Amino acid sequence: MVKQTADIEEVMKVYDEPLSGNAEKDVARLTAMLGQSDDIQVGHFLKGRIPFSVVHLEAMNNEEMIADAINSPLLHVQNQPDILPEFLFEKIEGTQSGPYYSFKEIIRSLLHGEVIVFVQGCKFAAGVIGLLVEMRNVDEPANQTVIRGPKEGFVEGINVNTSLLRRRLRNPQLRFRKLSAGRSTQTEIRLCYLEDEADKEVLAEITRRIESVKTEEVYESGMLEELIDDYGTKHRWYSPFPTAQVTERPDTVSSEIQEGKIAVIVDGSPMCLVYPMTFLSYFHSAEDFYQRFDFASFIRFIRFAAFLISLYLPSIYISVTTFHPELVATDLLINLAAQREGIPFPAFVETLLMELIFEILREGGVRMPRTIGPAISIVGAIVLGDSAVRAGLVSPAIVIVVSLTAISSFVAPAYNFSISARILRFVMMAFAATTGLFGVMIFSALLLIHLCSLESMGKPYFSPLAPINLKHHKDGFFRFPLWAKNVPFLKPWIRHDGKKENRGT
Amino acid sequence: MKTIRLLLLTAIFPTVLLSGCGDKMELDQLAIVVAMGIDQVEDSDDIEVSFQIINPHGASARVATEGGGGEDASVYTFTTRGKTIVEALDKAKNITPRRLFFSHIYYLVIGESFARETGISRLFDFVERDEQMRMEFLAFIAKEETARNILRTFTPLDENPAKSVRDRVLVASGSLGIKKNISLSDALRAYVSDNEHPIILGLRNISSEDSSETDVLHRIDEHSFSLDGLAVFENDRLKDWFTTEESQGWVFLNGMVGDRTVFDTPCEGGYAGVRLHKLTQSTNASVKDGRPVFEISLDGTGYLLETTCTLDLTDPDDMEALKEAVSNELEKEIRSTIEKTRTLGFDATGLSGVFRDHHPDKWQEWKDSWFGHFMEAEFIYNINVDINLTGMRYNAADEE
Repeated sequence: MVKQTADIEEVMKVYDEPLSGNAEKDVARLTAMLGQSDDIQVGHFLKGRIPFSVVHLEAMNNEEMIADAINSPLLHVQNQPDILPEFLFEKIEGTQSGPYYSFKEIIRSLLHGEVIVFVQGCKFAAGVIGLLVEMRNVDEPANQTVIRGPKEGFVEGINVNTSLLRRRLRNPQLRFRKLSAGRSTQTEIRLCYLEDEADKEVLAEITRRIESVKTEEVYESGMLEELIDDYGTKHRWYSPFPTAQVTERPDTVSSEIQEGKIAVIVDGSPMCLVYPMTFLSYFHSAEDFYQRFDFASFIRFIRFAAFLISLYLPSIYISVTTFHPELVATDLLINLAAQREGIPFPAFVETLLMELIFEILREGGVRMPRTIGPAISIVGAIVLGDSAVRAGLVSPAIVIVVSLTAISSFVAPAYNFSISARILRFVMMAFAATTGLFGVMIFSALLLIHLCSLESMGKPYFSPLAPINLKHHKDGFFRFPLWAKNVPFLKPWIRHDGKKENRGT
Repeated sequence: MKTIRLLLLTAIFPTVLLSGCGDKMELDQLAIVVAMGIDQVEDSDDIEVSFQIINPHGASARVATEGGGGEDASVYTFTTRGKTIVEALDKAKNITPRRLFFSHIYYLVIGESFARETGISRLFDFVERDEQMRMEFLAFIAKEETARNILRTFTPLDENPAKSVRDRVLVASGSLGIKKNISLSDALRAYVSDNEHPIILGLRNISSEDSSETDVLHRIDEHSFSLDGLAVFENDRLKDWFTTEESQGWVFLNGMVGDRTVFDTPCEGGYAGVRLHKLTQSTNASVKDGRPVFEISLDGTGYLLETTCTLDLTDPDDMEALKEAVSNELEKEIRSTIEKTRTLGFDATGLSGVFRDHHPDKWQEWKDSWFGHFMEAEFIYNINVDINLTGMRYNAADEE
């Protein structure tokens, strides 16, 4: 039974009306309530001893299965002499929900894809679930790919996603809690956690935040994230850092749940939210645990370096060339100066220009039809890169700086995190252009202060760096081998009782 | 809390935004000075300052911009004069379209007449005071030449003549085998300390008279300058020059030697050239019978590069004789430095510092009349060079 938030209840209140017990009248009342919408499919079976009606929404349910599971068994029992109307429900060959005594509940179930069965003489109706038409198949995740590891990704259907998690975690402690949000969309949301591991405070906090969501629509977990996340609240709106982990990989979510985190699955979205989140987790990928620990640690270091490059490189180039040329080795300075000969723009404008061109290219690359892809690459690489240099608009060094920055920004396993580096890069460039490395330093200090003050569902975001906790660094910058005790299951807010041990022979 | 936050924001953002890019210099607004020269103007109080600025377009060999050619000169040198360096610098602003930038100076060259007559102390104030100047650049004295002419000479092999000069000391390290450079700050340090006298590397112009300055370089020996000996200063005035042999001795005495080649060791029937490495030097000072005694130890290993001797190198005794000869050659170098210094009338060997460190009490007593004590000093040489390789063969080729 989906728990409805208060504002959905308010919307549905007008339909709060008891059933009359007359199947035909009740169906008529139902269709009237839904405004005679043409996609409501009604099947009346009124000629038998006990008349009944079957209502469902067009194309949502498999018609053949309805016939097999509901229509034929119910018609079959019509011939039995002394059957009571209530007994009819037990003959339905399918999982039932209900009984529903009011139209409010019936409408809600109907809109969620249940098949509603009315029986003459009963003041309640039943819903049959599980007859939904299958949507997209489980497929390889499009964005978070791995070389070694499971090739399954979440899909849009929430039931499929739930089963993907259940198939990985056969722990009896695994719990799903259903919520919903959105007055118009009535989107189903499921919280998934381990009863014995999950932090109860976080669970309570997430539940409270989702229940207090007041909105018309939730189509994607991103919309929900913005409403329940810290940056959605008024005092943190300026934070560019996401405080939720977003993943489309069931194995990642399973591992996070196993560590005591709480997953939020939103119906209609293949992207799952995981709370709480730490800063360092953005440099972690599911594959880190499938590859050797030494290699995984090395790759984590590369990711961290790439993040710093994507954040700092253009600013450092600007500040060093315009404010601190004494910092550059003389030969390099001469080469850089030679490249800048005859360039009409200051270094800042030059960098800004190329960064903007790249952002346009990137956005174009995401939105364009697939067949035009190669054309864009050619235009981007040759025309804008090479020709801009030849035309004397920008210097070759800038092209290197911008391309290295761009490639580095793709290294972060979490896309939502590389976005924040993308935005901050421009602010950082403005600081660099006005006050050089001094400005870069000021802004870095501000960022650090901000990061330390952030929280994800009430848990410190910058943990285990601040507050420092050396034990938890076993799965931080480095990934320690699995047999090093309690790795990777250590997270700052999880008690450390040594229960979870990894051991080989 | 909110007011504090607002105050902070209002404090930080104007600081950044209203700074208006002050102090900003684009790279193409900079004239990177790579070398500076100082000369005395004859019959005048003025000094002549030469600036060698780099032309990035000509100096960078790897510029891929279209239409650019390597035809441009890699450096330009221009000269201004004034009562002070600052005046000369100010006049330079009228000549260059760019801001002079001094942080990347490779070396400073001082004309011989300036060093003899005006004294290098006149430079120190500007160099110490200016925030762009680094003190670690090399200093040279232009031997029998003006600094201006040194800076106007283009050099072969390197697009950047200033770098070519620096690399002579740091990479090729010349005949002196100096492992660390002698920077202007070393000279300053010697100038301000008691009884030490600055020593600066010498640079001689070896261009032939008729070779033109901007001609594309065809012959390395006709158009260049070479390291040549050390300039000896008394306080801030140039007094004399050490010859190459005396300079080599001075380098030993001051423990600055890196790898050295001893090229003219006399031995039976000819000469031998030996490459020395891992040279370690130490000097010990003591007092005996009221006279300072210096014990100079030098250890190292070497390998034979060339020999025209009749020595049988497979014979250990003959090998010993060769080692002896090399050690004697080194001793001769050090002796020559001390002899030369004794004729100068002041102690330029740097041994006063060694004595001060070993006998601070005696030094206080003797420091005012140090040169007299130095004249009486006794020198003990412990030179021990081992030759452990003879290259690809033993004896000289013509013996067989």
